[in-house]
Amino acid sequence: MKRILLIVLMSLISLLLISCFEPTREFNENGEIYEDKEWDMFESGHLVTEPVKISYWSAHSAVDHQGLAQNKLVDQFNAMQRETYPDSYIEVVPSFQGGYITQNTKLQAALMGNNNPEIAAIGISSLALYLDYAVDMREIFTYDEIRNIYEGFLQFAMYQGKFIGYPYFAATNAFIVNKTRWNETEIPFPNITEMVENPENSPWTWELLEEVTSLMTNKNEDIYGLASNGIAIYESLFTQGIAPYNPIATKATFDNEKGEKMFEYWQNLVLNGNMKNPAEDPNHNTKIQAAFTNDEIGMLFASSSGFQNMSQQIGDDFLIDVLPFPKVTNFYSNQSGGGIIIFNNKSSTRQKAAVEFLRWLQADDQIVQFATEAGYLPTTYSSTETDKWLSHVELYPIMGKTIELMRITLPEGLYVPSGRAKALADDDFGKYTRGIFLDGATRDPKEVLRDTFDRVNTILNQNS
Amino acid sequence: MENIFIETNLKTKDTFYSPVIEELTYRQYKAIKVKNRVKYVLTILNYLIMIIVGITFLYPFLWMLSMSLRTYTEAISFNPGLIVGKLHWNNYIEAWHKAKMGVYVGNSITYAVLVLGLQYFFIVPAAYAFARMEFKGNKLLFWVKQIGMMLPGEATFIPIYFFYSKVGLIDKWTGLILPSLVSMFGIYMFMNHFKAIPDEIVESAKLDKASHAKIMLKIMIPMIFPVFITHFLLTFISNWNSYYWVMVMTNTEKLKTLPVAVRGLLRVEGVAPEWHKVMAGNILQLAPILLMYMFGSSQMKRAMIGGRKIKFASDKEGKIKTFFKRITKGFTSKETKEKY
Repeated sequence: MKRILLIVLMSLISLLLISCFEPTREFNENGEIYEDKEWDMFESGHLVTEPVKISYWSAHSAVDHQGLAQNKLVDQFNAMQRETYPDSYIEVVPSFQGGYITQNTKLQAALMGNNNPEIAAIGISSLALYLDYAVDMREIFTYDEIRNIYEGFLQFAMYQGKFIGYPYFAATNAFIVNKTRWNETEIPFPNITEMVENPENSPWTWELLEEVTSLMTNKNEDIYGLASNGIAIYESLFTQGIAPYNPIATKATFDNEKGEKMFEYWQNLVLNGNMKNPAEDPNHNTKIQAAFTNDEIGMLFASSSGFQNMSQQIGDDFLIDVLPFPKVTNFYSNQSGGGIIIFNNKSSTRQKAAVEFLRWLQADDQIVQFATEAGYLPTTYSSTETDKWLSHVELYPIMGKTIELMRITLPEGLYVPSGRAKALADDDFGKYTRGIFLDGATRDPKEVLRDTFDRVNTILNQNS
Repeated sequence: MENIFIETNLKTKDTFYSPVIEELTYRQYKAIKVKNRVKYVLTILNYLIMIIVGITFLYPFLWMLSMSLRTYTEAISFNPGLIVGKLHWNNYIEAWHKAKMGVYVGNSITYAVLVLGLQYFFIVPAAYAFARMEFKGNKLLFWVKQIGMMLPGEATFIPIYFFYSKVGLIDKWTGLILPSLVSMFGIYMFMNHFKAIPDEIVESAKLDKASHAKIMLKIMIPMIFPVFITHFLLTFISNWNSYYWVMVMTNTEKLKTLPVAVRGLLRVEGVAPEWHKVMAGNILQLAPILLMYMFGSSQMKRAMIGGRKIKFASDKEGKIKTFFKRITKGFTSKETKEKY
């Protein structure tokens, strides 16, 4: 028995030592997406010579409207392939995993066993997890095709010099504004074009947000100027000119006066009675959407993937518009949603089949079809010039305005972090910042900042 | 102070015998009165607590029903009230179609039938062996199984998924039902009940040269029949509601079950889910469980407490009827009225 225990112990120690000596990569930043060099590109056109079946995983469910929209695209692709290439068609088998966490868990196990799909839709915060298994998108898309993508949707695509995921489930976080209530304040509505082209001159600042929400608040009628599910972390830091983590997301960087200012600002919005306290109700996020569509909230900070649905609910009841998070030093429009990865551990034929499917998906017609049916944003400039998109924008003008926010770029020197631990760190970052709203929003901002910073740093250290 | 006389033990109105008269002091009379009043108050309190506890258990179901009949806007307001202005029964039809329940309900039934139909071939003999047979490695095997039971399911998903994907069990009915066939919970449950059967019965069967198979099938199983019903119900509920296991072990839609579909309605990104349809879907998913529980609850209790006789819940007076009868009895007790 002692001998067995000794062998087990020795094996464990050996494993520990091996893990200690694992070579670490020397990467300090994620690099430029438009690298000027000759890329070993996949050929264009139909790339397979015999029928091929490939798997496509999505984090959506098969029955929500976003999953249904993907399923429809897959069906169309399969039908087109059967018709066009009866002897060498590609068949895509979709698989809906019902959530990013479940999908990531399964993918990690599947990659170890080489049973992963050929292509998958991954949450943007998790893209870095698949660095070693992803085909670089610059081997699939040309320089011009990449330049055709809205800058804002390429924020998280690069990790350690690799263009990992093609943006597809594209959304941003922004204010959907009850413009009828805004107009009653007699403050001129900020112009998005000006924010993009001449940001220094835009009056849309943190102070103006405070002022306008205060004017839109009517305590007697229980109307709040602002509602949000929590602190807009990325926006609150980037608009002050700092990132939450270092470029490769291994260390937190918000333990300073700007981080403190973020907490104080959001706490004051609640304490002044201009914003509904997000910590008061577990169903706050759903309820504020209902309250906004019922004309009970002036501005709602939310994901743009819900704007089309809200616009449908509101109809002609009141005017709506969109705004990015206001600036302190610069504007920033966060990217949310997901991207598509092609895995490199499959046979060349299967990879080619996946490439052909992805190229078909990113064609203008398919991009617009998906965006209009799922409520996401189109990812390329050319797709927003198609008749189908333009007629959609006539129906839902707010979607046309929201896509403009993705033209906002970060000032020189400011980077968007991407790393393996980012998804986990973001998750805890969001949870811990809610501490500022607890106990009737009376906690000390410095204390909440310290707790949040320690927690986020621990997560980054443990998982990087 | 005036004495109060109370007649007790009065047998008939026209009795020849003098009734037994107990002379009570005013203090004793008051004490009895106070005692009875306290008793009434405690009875009322008892029922009040029962009603409050009952409501706390019932309210979520009623609220779920109420949510399932609202419009989208009403539903996402999360009003805690139960009253709905206009009842939207069509939510059920929409939930059925949207969650493609017609497809998934078939998978759920297949999954439940396969598990319930096959597991007893494995767990009952295993339980009998652990309870009544002596063999080498008995304790070690049981210990290994027990360890498996103690590990949280989520912790074992990745290794199981890895193993399943290597041996080609992902997206297969075999892979889906395999762990349930040798469920430690079932083995444990049957084993305990097999152990509770007196040794004398088994010994006398052995004297009659009955084999282990015969003892198990002809003697022991009939004696613990209510346990089967309890286990059947519990396994059905757990398999019918199984979400994460099915979600992880299936890739395509061909084997996914009802909970995956209903939960899928919640998955929409950035948009407040259609809670009215989600709740309608939940009620549709719950319906068979509620029906089974209504008919089998007495057996479950019997199996937990012990006893053999099977009694159907609908045989005698219903629980609600008995409950009201007891309340009425408590408030209008003739005996009490006659006394004072």
